[in-house]
Amino acid sequence: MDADLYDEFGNYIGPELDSDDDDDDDEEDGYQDNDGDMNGYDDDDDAQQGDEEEEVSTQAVVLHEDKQYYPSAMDVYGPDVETIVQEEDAQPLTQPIIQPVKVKKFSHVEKDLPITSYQMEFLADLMDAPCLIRNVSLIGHLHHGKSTFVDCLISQTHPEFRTKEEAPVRYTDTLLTESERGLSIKATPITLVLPDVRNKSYLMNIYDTPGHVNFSDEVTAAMRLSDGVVLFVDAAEGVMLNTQRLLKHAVQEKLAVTICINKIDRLMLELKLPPQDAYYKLRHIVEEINSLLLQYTDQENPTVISPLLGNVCFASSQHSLCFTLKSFAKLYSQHYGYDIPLEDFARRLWGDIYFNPRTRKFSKKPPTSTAQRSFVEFILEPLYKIFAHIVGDVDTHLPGLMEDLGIHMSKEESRMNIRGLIKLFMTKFIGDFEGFVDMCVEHIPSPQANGRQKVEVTYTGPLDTELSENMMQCDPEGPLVVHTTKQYPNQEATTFHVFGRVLSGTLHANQDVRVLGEKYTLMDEEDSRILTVGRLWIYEARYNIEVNAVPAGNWVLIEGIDESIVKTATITDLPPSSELQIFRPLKFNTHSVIKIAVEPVNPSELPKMLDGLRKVNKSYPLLSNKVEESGEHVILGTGELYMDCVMHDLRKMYSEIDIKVADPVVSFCETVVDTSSLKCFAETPNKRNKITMIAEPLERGLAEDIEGEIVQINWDRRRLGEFFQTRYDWDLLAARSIWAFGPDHSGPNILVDDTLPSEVDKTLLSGVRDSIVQGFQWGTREGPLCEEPIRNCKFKILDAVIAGEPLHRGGGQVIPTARRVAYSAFLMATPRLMEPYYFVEIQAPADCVSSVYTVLTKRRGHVTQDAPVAGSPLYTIKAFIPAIDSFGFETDLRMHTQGQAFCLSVFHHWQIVPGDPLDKSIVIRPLEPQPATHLAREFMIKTRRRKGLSEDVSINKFFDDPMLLELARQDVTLNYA
Amino acid sequence: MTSAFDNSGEAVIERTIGSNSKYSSYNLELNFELESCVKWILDGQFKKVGLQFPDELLTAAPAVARALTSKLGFHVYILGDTTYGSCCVDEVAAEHVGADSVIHYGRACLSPSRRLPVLYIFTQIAVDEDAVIEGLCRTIDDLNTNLIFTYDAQCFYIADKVANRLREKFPRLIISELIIPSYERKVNKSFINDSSLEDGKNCNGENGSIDNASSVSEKEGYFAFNGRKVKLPENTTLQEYQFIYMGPESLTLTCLSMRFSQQVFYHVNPVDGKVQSITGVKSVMNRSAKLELAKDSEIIGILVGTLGVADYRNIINRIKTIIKSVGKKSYTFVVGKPNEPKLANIPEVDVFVYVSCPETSIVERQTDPALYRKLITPWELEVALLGDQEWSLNFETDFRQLLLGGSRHVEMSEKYKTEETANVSLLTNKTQMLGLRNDTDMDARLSNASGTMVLADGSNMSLIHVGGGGEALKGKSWQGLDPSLPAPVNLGTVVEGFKGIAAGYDRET
Repeated sequence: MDADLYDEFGNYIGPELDSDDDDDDDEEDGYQDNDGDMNGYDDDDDAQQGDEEEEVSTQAVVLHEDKQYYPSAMDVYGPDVETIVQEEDAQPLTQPIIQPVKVKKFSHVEKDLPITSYQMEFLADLMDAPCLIRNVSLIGHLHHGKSTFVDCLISQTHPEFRTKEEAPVRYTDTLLTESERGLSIKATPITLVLPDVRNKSYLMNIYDTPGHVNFSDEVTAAMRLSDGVVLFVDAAEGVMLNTQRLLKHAVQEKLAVTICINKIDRLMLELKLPPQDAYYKLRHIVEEINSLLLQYTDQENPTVISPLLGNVCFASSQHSLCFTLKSFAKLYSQHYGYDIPLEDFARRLWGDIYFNPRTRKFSKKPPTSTAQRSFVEFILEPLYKIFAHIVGDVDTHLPGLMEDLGIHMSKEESRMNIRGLIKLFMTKFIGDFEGFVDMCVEHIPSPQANGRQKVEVTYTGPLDTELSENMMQCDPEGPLVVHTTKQYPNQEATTFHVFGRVLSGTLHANQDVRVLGEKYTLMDEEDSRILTVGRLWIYEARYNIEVNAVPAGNWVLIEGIDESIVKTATITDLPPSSELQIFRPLKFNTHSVIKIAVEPVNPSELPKMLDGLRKVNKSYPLLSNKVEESGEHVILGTGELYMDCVMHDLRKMYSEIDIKVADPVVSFCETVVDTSSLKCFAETPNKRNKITMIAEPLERGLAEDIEGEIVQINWDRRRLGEFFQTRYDWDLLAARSIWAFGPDHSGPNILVDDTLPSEVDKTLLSGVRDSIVQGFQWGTREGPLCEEPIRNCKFKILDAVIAGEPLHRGGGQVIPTARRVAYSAFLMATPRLMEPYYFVEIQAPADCVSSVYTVLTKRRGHVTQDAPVAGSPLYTIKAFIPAIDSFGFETDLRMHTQGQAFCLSVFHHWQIVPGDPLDKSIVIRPLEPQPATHLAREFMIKTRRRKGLSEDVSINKFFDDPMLLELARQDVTLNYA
Repeated sequence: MTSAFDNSGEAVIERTIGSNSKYSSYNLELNFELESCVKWILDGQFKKVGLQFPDELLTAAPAVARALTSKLGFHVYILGDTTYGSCCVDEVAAEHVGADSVIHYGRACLSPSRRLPVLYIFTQIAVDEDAVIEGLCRTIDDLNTNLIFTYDAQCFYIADKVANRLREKFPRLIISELIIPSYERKVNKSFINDSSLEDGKNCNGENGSIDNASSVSEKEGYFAFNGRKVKLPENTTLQEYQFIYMGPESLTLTCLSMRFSQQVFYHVNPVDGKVQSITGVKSVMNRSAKLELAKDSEIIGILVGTLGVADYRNIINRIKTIIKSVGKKSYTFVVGKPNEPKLANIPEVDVFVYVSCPETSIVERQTDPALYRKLITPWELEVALLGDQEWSLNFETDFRQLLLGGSRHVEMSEKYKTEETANVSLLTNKTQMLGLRNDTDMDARLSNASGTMVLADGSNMSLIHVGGGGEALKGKSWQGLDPSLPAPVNLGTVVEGFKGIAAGYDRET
């Protein structure tokens, strides 16, 4: 610092500096406000200064109000910038000024590719060998240990995978909601390389599915992509509701069935059964499944399962234990070092076979009265011993046992708690789940071997074309065909990745493909789009392995083509082979009967909600949406839990807005229980045509046959007639003159032309056939009672007068009239309402059974069966309950039984609601429970209100004046007209 | 017995109108304002005047016509049976007699028409002022509420008076004015400034063509909606206001409440002063289901419901372009007043866009469920098909707002082409396609169809439009008049035919 430029206080006293210091400038200007601070404030505004300088120089008197001390915002920022001054805090205190970036997280994801016991390249190489691939779905009842079983497979292949001791990780339950609820919601696939008993590696594509009956639709989607299933059965609980249903479904889908009896530890630790009884229990389960299989397969040679055949394995996934007879036999041979033939030994380990230690031979007769069956002696007793030693006396007996078996544990390991110890012991003792892999490899065909079956069951096109041949051969060189059944949302839940199976050809990343939707047919090619595939992955639940190409036989997760896919799709390459048709849409084993109406809290957010609705529709296979004419947006699902999950996704994942939900209701149906009391006729508005019809109920079981597509309208007349003649005793004439099913091609109503050629001009009538069918379809789609579909109803055309001139019998005249006459015939045939019924299976301890009955009776339910479960203190109660009264049933049940009862319910059938819906003498008072005979009326009126219809059915609307006169003449008591 | 299924119009024909005591003893002079009618006719030097009456006033028509004839010295014409809604001026009917002007009696939607000079006589309904004011005061608690006063055209004569009295109670009340379209005759400029119009209560001095009117009113800070305008004080927005509607329950109220569905409407009955507060949110939300219907449909019909409202041709052209741009097909139909049997003759069409005046374009569900299901408004079509037209709670019934210069106009060039997008339909739960395919194959087919000449014989028709109207046409039993047939050679002599109306001729019954 130059000392003489500053005074003793450090102030500058030197010559004037040539800097643009504002202080100095202003001083020079003789600016009024000499305060340096003040100038520093507005020094960045030269224009402003200039103005003031001028004012100063004019020395004019400036009025107080004209004085401008500070520049206005416009002066500072220019005219283009809008300035807002807020005096109050518009932002609430709780809201941060700078919002942190919001990260949406709905699922567990691995950050990096985890380390696996095999090379990823090896996995990819295996994909090229279809004979080494197995596509398997794990199915079974709720909490029978499917997801935990997958955990064991993961821990064997992912060395870094650690399970927590208290609760299993459930690797395939990727969604946060799944782990919170403690049950699987979505079917999740995982691909692993696993060795079989001979240490040969196979590529196992495993689909872990939810066990709750509400989510059976996910199972259906998973099964479509698989060649076989492993049915999980809890050893203690035995065959349960969903076990049965899924078994039936798998048989219907023509999949190979194998069984895994899981949780065998429960027999030892929880039920404490002696080994002999444990064997009986296991045998009972096997027999039960066999009898079910016999029932579901009415072929000559039904599928049989037995441990002896190798398609049953035993497991305790919690303790990492899994074996088949063969893999246990291998243990013996390894331990004793004998080279015994595994197959032969395994064959002697189940059934009434005993080992005679003296002769060292197996025999069918017990050598001594105390002798145990070989399964007990060689398998169960050693396991019991292990469990007993670990649970009972770790310090004294376990080391000896370990020495015998040649198992080593570090000090630290042996100090673990019991559960961890059993698990570790079993891992070391039994080893990998070779038995399971062996079972899958032996009894579930490879994609190549199952190709023909798969194509026959799922493909709509002809089977004798070259293309079908390629699919059956699972040919990676053939034309590309991919079948997709599920969509998984991406991390941010903005778009979907599509999951499917390559049936023929090879799918490459960034390839142009043609996506065919469910509406696509060779005639109507509207529902198809050309899109570009993005990346491809192998889906591994919590991580994905990116691949460049996926050959036939494999599962693949596809990016970038979700836009046009709603539920399932068929994907081909370009140019599309002209003959390709689509795969059948999924055929579910349950119905969506629960309805909720949703509405945004803020009406202007409707578009957002609609967007969300479209997305949940994609993500749930059986979910369907409806927009009522009253503008109500309705979601249809299978049950309460299902709807709860849908609403969670809708509110949190896909639309992020507040949504109001109306009380849940159910779908109804309308039906008749009698034949129309008189012939109903109606004239067209131009009075030149007259149609006469009557309505009557269908034969029992026929509606289900039509819905199950056991009989189809597009069969030729002869075959159709034969079906009705033989199965339902129709006369030849009626059977040959079936015009239509309705409302759709598989709707449970029939339109029959019952006119006689001598009375009616058949050629004229056939001229308006399409119009009458349309009127019938329209009428059955929304019945006259409350615009719900008509069911179980046969409409007969008895007479028809049709105008000769085409002009006078146009659709405009005939269609509404046909509908009107169908309605009047319906109303004259004692109309009734039908409601869906649930089948409920309840498990409860004996002392709770009576309270279960109480709860059921309160809700119009009735018990069909109530029996103790063999080998457990529980009772199983089977009951029917109306779906509309089932809301909150589970909670109610648990409350009445102190949480000891557990139930599952699933749609079973339609049943007539008691009471006459048209009885006007019934007064429905608000907030009062109605007696049974008033229910039909109540349901009808409430449904009408919800739909914005007039309170009561105006019968007159459907009857012509002459018809009403006719009614009066015949003195028909139309008490509700 | 009116029924939704038998909507042949019989009911209208058989309805007895004659003994309407309300108008039997009325004063022609007062109700039909004969004085101002005569003045208007004489001033305009009109020679042939059509008198248009709605159905309920038809009984009074002869008397009015007689009175006018005697005063004018030449005949006037009664236009019965309006082609479309009776709220619009039926110019087509007027042209049948070659009328050079029309006097429209009764309620009017005030949609501007193009061709003829029109005088609106709203006819008056009784208003119990005290009851109205009392009723409103009882319902609206906060005296400082921002209110806009709207009213039915039939209450127009007294609206100012009521509003001024109300303003004493509610200081923040503003009154809306009717925009009464009147025809500007270029040859007769002086006519516009004629002071005589001012004493005729029905013309509030708002002259000039409608375009001028609305642009002028916007300049003056007016906000125009549904044939009305209101001047909002500065720094206030419409959102802050609630509405009062004085008049009988009518489609006007429905339209208004749907247009401002977020605001509360206090509907006051002029006869007994009963007040109901209503909002249109429910109706707007209910109609949202239609958007999905429009998106799902493959063939859209354009139903012409007016031949009088200005710009109807422009909107039809615009709708055609929009429908084409998203890869759907459109056909235009003129069926007069639509009803269910008429529309059922065209089963191929999934949904109809109803081009008509704001009030007739809304069909309420209670009145005709079958029609309600099939008809949508042009605005709804644009929301469904045009990505840029956003859905909102302000339901636009006036199609003129969608055109260039309107408040709801969105840009759309002639060569507009939407990229194909697919989505999930909430009605069918299947894929829903919107937009044109970027498919060269398709393009080729299209250009082929339009570019080359094809010999039009019957079999080729369906070949040209595969899957379209050609196929449907072929399937029909009656395909219309065949131009290739030779004209009939011997035309008979003219004989007297049936008498009566088409639904039932005299001789038939």
